[in-house]
Amino acid sequence: MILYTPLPLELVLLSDDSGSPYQEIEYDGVTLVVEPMGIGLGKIVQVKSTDPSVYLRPELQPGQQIPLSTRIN
Amino acid sequence: MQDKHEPTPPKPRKQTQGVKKIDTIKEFGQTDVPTVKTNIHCLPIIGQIEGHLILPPQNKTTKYEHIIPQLVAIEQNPEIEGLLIILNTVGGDVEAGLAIAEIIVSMTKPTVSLVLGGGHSIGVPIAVSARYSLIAETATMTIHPIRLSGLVIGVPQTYEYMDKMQDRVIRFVEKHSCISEAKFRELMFQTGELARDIGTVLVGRDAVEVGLIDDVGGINKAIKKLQEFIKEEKNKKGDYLH
Repeated sequence: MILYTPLPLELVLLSDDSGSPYQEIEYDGVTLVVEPMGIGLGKIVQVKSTDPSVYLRPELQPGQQIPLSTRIN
Repeated sequence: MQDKHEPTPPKPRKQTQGVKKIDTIKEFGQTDVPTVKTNIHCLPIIGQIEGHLILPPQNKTTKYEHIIPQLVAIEQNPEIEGLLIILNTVGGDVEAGLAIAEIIVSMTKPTVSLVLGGGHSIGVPIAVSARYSLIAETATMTIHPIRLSGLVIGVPQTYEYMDKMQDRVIRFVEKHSCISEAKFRELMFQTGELARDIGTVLVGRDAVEVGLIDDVGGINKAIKKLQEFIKEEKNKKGDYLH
C-alpha cells in the first residue's frame, strides 16, 4: 500500500490500540456512525449519505439518541 | 374469551417516539419531516482515503468500499440527475483514490467537484475527475511526490516502482485537466515551497491558473453548473428521441 498524503506518516500510522469507540449501523436505510450509550441505545456521531435531504431529518441529527437494534421488532 | 379476542389483529408495537415516527412513514407514507426533493446528490470526501489497510482510529477516513457502491447507486438511480463531490481530503491510499477518480470519470451523470479546505495529494485526481471542477478561494491543493512507507529496499527497482505509481497519478491528472504533464511534474518537484517536503501548495486561484481546476467558486457556481449540465443531458435525450 502506498499512502499519498502531505501528512507526516508517523502521524497517520500512529497506533494506540484503543480501537474505535464508534459503531456503524444502518438505520431506516441510512448508514450512521453511532456511539453506543448503553443497552440498546446509541448517540449519532455521523450520518453517511449522499442524499442531502437525509441531513435535514430531525431524528437523524448528530447527537440524537436512537435505538440500536432496530431490526428486532 | 379467547374467541372474542381472536379477530382483532395484534396491535403494532410502538414503544418509543422514534419507532412511531418510522411506523408512520412505513404505514401511511406520511411524515412531518420536511421532504425536500433533490435531484442532486452530494458526496463528501473527507480526511484520509482508506483503501487496502484500515488506518488507526485517530484518522478521519473516507472508505473506498463505501464510496464505490454509492457511486454505482447514483449512476443507476433515475431520480438522481447530478452529483456534487465535496473534497476536503489530505490524500491517502493511491489505489483507492485512483479507483474513486476512475469511477467518477466514467459516470454518465453530470458531476461537479468542489475543493473546500484542502484537496491534497490523491485528492487532486479526484478533483479533476469530475466534468467540471471548482475550488474555493481559500482552499489549497498540495502537489508533491509519492513517498514509500515501511521497509524500503534500496535498490533501483524500488525507485522504478515508485516512479510507476507516480506516473499513474500524473497521467490521470494530465488527461482529465488542462495542466500539461511537464507543468505538473515541475510543481511536484519544486523545492523551497514546502517546509518538510518538495512540492507546491496551490491556493484557490493558483490551481485555476496552472490549469488544474476549471474555476474558483463555491456552492452557487457548483449547483448552477450542475443544473446546466442536467439541462444539456435532457436536451440531448430529447434530440435522440425525435
